Amino acid sequence: MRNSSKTKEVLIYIGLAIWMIVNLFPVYWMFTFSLKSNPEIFGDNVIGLPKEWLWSNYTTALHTGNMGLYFMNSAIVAISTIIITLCVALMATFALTRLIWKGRKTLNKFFMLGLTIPIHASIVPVYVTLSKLNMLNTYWALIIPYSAFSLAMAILVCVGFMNEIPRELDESACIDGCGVFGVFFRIIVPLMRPAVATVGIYTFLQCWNELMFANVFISKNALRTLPVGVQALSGQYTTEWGPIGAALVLATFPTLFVYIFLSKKIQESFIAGAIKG
Amino acid sequence: MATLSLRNIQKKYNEKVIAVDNFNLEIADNEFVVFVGPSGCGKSTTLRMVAGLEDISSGELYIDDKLMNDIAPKDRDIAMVFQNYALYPHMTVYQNMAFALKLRKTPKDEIDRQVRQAAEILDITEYLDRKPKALSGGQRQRVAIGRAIVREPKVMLMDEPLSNLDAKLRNEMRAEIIKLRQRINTTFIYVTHDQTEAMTLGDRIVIMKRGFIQQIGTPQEVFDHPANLFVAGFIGTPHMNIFDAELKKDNGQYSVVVNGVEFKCSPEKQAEYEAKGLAPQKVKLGVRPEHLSLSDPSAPMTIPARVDVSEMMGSSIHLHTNADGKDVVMVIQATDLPADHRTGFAFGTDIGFTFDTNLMHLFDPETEENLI
Repeated sequence: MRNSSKTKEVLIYIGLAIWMIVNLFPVYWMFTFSLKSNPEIFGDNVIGLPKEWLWSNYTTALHTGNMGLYFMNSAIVAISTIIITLCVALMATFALTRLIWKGRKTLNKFFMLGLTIPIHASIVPVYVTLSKLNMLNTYWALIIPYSAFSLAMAILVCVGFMNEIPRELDESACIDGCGVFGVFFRIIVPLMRPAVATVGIYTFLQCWNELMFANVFISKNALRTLPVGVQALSGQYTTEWGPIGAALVLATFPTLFVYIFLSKKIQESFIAGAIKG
Repeated sequence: MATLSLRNIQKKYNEKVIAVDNFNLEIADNEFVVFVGPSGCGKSTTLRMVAGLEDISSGELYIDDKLMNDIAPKDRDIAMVFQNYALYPHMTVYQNMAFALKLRKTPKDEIDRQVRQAAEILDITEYLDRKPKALSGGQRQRVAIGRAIVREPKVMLMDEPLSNLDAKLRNEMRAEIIKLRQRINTTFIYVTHDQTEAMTLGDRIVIMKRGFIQQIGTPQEVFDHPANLFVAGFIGTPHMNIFDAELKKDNGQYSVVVNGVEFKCSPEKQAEYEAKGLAPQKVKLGVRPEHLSLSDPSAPMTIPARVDVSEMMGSSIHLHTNADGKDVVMVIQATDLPADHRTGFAFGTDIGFTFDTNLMHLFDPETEENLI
């Protein structure tokens, strides 16, 4: 009995170890790939450690490939999108869940329709609109569509959270001396921190990796974001893959950081409210 | 401290459902009024209208002779304690208690003095730096009360504040509220469905049913003279026994016939009925369980019954009996019983019971109103 349970445990650990290797391999591969030359990448040494550690690939990516600038552009776009999405989502959710007015349920359903629209399906109308507003080749060309497309999911998460906050807190705050804004900023917003973290992370991941809009709406080199910048490293006749790998490592680093340190918050927020505390 | 006047208050939802209707009540300065009734009777809705958390559909609410119908909750100078405490989870106990004062831009040292004073009254000084989640239910409710009293409001509203506590804590907190009431000068409105709380806390009790006031009176008044069958059944534990009976008048003497047994009315009742000019009629007769006494089944003015359940409550015994198909509950003091029955009666024991007609209540079977 004891032997069979031990065997079972060993098998589980072997399974988990295999699963871990499968998951970590792409990260290992990307990192080693970023330190190799083209001959190593395409034949000599595909999965082994680099024979010669070419740290110069990183220098090339940062200086020749302008990765520092693209990183900054991506950061500006991502942070602005997160701030706008959070502000709009929190206020919309407050209006949808806490204020009583005709049509709030219909409007909530309307917001949820946003979940069904694939981002790529809207590329032409968004392009035409941005063009008419003279907003192509500006940060706003990405910030506004990214915010709009993140909003449906953000409202979905926030509505679930806000519904869990007892209404007596609002009422108590009203009696204590708060108006609508007081209730929102002093009571509701501080209690929405887990939802803010979730929406922030989700929105970051969405816009940090987005390529299609960034490629179509931005043609100025100075405003390119990371995914477009990485793509641009590929030459017309010859391509140095080592610096592309280095750029990919730099581009992936924030995403990995978010996943490793904040994934627990995402999980918590998705199950919040499922169990009565 | 403040006076309140609720005049013809009505609350309608969707122009169809009437939650409260024709609510009239004058509350004196420093008075403790309890709204009591079963779930859905409109007691909390009325309290919320006083707080300004619900609109008043029609009628007028005055606090200190000032019309409050359209005044925002924050400008009514009221404080409210909620059933689920409603403490702000992201603030410490101190910050919770100081919140309202901070919004009123009270100087910091004054806030500190008032918070510490309230904390001392409620014995929560040691928890001031804790967050609500680190407190027990009883401690949280103390903080909620502290948050309310720290502002020295004109009117203190309490919406079933003890309902979430266990029986022992509830008794302790009830005593705390009585003590608190003596220490702070304010007008209280307290909502509960627990008639024990209503009886022990209130200067006056407002008993409600389906949105209407059934009776307003002191605890003693509503206990001794219930206005109708609902109040008679609602106030008092165990509930009042109600019998189908007949009021007779022979040679100018009133008597009641219950289960075929005739009871001559006491001289006081004779005078009351005479003064009221009661005609002989079918009536509902109510006698409280503690006003029934054991008697020899063959004695005059005694109704025979059979014991179903005997509950030993310590100092008393609750006897659930069956008298001619009707359930009758009696509360008998253990010391009044012979030694062999002090722990109760066996199932099926034949007994008899009687009552002092001076302690009975007569109700109209149609209107259910008290005939006196």
